[in-house]
Amino acid sequence: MLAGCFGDGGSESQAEASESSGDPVSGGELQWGGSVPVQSLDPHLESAAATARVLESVTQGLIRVNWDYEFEPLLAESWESSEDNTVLTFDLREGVSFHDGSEFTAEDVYASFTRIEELGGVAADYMEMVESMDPVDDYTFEMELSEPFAPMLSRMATSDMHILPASLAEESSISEPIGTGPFQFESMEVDSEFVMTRFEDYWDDELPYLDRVVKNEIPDNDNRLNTFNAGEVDFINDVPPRHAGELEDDPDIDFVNRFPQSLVYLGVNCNEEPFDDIDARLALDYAIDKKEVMEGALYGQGQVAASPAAPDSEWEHPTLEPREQDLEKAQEHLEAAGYPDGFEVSFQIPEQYNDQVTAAEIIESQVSEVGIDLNIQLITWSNWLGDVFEEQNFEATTSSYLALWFPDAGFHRPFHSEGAFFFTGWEDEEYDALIEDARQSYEMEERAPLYHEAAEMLQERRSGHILLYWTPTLMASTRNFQGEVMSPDGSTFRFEETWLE
Amino acid sequence: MTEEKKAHYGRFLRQFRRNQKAMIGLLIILGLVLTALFAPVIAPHDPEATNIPDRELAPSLEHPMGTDDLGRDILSRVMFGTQISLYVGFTSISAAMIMGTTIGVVAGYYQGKIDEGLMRAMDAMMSFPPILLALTIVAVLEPSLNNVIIALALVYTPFIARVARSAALSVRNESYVEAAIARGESDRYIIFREVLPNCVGPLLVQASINIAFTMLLEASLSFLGLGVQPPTPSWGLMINQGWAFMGDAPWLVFFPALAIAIAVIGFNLLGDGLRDVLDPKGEIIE
Repeated sequence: MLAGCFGDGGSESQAEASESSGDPVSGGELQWGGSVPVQSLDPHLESAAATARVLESVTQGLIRVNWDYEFEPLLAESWESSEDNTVLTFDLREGVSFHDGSEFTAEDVYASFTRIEELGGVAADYMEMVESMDPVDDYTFEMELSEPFAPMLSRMATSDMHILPASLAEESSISEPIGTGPFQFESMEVDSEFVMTRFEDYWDDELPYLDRVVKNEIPDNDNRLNTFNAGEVDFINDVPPRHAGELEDDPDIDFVNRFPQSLVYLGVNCNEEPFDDIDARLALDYAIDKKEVMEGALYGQGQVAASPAAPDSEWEHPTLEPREQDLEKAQEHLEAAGYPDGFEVSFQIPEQYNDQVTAAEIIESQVSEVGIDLNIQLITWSNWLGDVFEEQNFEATTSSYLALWFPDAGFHRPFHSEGAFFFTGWEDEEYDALIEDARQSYEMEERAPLYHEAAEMLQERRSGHILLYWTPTLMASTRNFQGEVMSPDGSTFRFEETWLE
Repeated sequence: MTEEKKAHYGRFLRQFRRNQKAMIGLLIILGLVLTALFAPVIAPHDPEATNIPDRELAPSLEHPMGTDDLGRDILSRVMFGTQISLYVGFTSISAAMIMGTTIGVVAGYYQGKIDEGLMRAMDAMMSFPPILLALTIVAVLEPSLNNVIIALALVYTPFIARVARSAALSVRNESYVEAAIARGESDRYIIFREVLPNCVGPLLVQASINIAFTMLLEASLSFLGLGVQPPTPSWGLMINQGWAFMGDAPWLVFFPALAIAIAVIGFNLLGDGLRDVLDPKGEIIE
């Protein structure tokens, strides 16, 4: 049963990644050179990707996503929804113990979800859709929703809704996470290292293979790569795209490029001139050569984006392409918008993202051809959050959304007028209604076409987000580090099925 | 021009021409000014036109200084960078000269409480390292070319003010000033006709040395990301953006750094030479 369930993940990308030469071997300590330091270890309250990245191996949810973006059993062996899709019933796995030795039951699920609701966790907005929860017996958990809400299951597959033991769920802040995962938390020194060790009583007797995983925090790109080249670490993530070519060619190194880590976009303020006019937005869109922007910013390691749906998923529109650069059309739209000679706007770029700074310079150069003058201003991330996102005091900007593997994250949060990340002022009632419909439908066959239509709408009506490119997760490891470490969500890692030869 | 004045200038020019340092400095500056003026004509490429396929090319005939990470020609960017550096240098020093001279001459001429008040305020500003003060001002005002100029002007005002004051103080006690006071001339007349013209020498020396520092500081601010915004080709910003490529494309950093060094040497030599000629007693603060 267990083997079967893991075997599900055998899609092409996974197979090509491992190039495994032999059977898994147990033991060994993995030295990982990590890019973004872990600052906090509370699965429910911390939204940073760096935290989710390590917690994926420590705490677990009821279900998780596989490489086909479908759900697979984890702490729940199976689940079903009522006819009207409002009651979700989970059959929980028996004989699972937490790292502290206590046994996993429905009470722990209840306590964990209650914690999210009461402490205003990252997923608290989803918990608002929950009418009631009921730990029917030790191994059955029931959740009643106020209306059908398909994204709930997707969110359950993220660390936002991971399960903690009931005793720990009473704590208002968590510094030493306890879960049911294959690795248990050992120690953390902020900005220096994070260590987790093999959990002997893991419910899958075969796993994990590694004894210990040590994440060395090395935020500087060149430093991290040099440390790896010097042989001090076995594995690094966030390889600078510029060095991808040389690593790909190195026969002693496994270089892996995985989509999607994040979606980078150019955002414009649709509440103010000139971008309150769709023609001004279209002119800008037509003036940009997205392919060249991606080549320049990511050295060809990325992928241009036409829709906020995860690349190569069912949710992605099968044929939709971003607008090709067409300076004549750009000129026509400029004239239609009443700016035959172009216009000048500020262009605020978060300085910490090198790829976005590079992209901004290329875009600035491209659109100057039709007289659109973008004044680049490099700003700090806190200024971006404050001025651009909160105050909406901007004309044009770039930014990114992390790991949008489930479609509600991609289509609702930034684009629906009540979405959590809504800030460009582009409002469209038809679009909102469409996304709300998509939330109620549980079958992929029914949902996917709705998202395809939504992607077309975003492009045709030129939403405030001109999508630029998907950034990949670029990783490099020595040949003796085997197995797929990337998780299908695009931003976390699963160390349980990796080993050192 | 009176005979006496002509003789005065003639003596100055002869001494200046004989001073090797001053002449080399002047030649370098002349070269920079010509490069800045004619950059649009002599630069082989558009300094801001990106060309991704030609990124990070090593120096060659087509691109004598190579290309940067966006395929822009570095020679052209360095040439256009001369405009930014000189523009920042001259405008900020001119502003500092106007403010500093006013403060210094007023303090030196009136003396007493006015002098105390103004010069203690200048001392307070000088107690901060220039880079720290400039960083603070730019951070408060938001990074941009104009704000960099404002910050540099403010940072260098006290240096000029000190020199202006000490020059004004010594002139104040000269007999021709006392004579003017005895004649009943207005303060205005005395300051503009008697005191100021006799302070010009030391001020010029101070300005030509400080202009090198302002150019250096502009580069530092841009290097720290608090100065000129991309894609404007400022030397400091070019070094900032080229830093990540030091390992395998050092020309991204080398040529703008060389340009900064040459400009700083040029103005320093001129300043030193001017001092030898104008201020042999050495009242200048470095």
